Amino acid sequence: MVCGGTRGAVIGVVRLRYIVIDIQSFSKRYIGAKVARMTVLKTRLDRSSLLALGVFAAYLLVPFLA
Amino acid sequence: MPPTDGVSGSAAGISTSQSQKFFAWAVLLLALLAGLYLRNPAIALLGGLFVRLVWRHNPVPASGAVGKYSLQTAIVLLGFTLGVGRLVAVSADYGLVVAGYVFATLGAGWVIARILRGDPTEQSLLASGTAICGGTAIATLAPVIGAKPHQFAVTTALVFLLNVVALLTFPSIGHWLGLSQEAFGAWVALAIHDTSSVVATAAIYGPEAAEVATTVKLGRTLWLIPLAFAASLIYQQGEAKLRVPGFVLLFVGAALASSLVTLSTDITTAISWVSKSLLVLALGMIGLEIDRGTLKRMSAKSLVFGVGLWCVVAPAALLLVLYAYAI
Repeated sequence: MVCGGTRGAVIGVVRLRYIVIDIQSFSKRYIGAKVARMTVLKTRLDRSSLLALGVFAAYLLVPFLA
Repeated sequence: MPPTDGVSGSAAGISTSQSQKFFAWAVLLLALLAGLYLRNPAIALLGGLFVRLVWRHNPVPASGAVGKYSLQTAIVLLGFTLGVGRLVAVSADYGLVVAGYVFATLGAGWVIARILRGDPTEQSLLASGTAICGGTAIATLAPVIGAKPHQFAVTTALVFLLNVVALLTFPSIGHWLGLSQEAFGAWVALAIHDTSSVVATAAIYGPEAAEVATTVKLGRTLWLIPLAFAASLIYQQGEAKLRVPGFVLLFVGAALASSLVTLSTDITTAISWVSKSLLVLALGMIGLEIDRGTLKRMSAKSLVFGVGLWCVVAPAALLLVLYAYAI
């Protein structure tokens, strides 16, 4: 289970085909430990995935724009 | 004599098999025709289910594809009767309600899973299916979280059974509670798992309920995108494959087209008739997709989890809709 402490950044565009999302977080079990163990969550998004996220974002905006 | 007995036994076997196929086809056709005549997709669904469970035979080998494309075409056709103004208005009215329902259901699923301590993979699939889109959510999430084929089959079957219960009971509950077409449509769009059963249940209640239910449900389906994205991050998938279902875009396109071009009442009536007929066919095919073996593999804990979660969130969805409807 991943919780809290997320720090997200788009770290690169690979030949304009993928955007790599890299989120660093720490596992719940390490909260309070002297050194939080960092877990790198990484996934690649192609153009269709970005389009899908765009469509979803537009859907979320409908209640506020209508 | 043994050879003769063998031949006659084989012939009898073939004869029995042929007669079973004949009866399976006959019952399925009767159920589809009755569903069409009475404009009730539930009859087709029960007919398909009856055929598959009694004769253990699926008379339509491509029932999955036929059901899927019939349903998607029925939904796109519904878009022509809706209009983009109504689409935007309904989405705006219920967008936040859908968001609240999705998060609340996932949260309730997490709490019930902690209490029951069953199979976490099956519980994740069931919670996602209940929150977002039944079998579609399960099919999207299963490869991401590494679900095994039997876990996928069992959770899909359980969702299917809950769909059947909803299809048979929700219209009566709606009438008993005196729900308006809009309130009923919004409620079933939240509380029923699969799009097919949502549209079918709402269509039994009335055409306006079907329009509202389809619009709200397709909005709920879009929540698959962030779910798949989050799951691909959490489960360390190298690449997130997020897609907008093509029929959702076509549905929006149909609503847009119907606003740009004025369609006569005869045409919209015909479109509505074809849409509902395809819905009956789709439900009949979906009924054929369930078999005894899958039902037998269902564990008690997963059953309790799926039913328990649904029993919590379905009434909560009704309260949410009535609250949203009142303000």
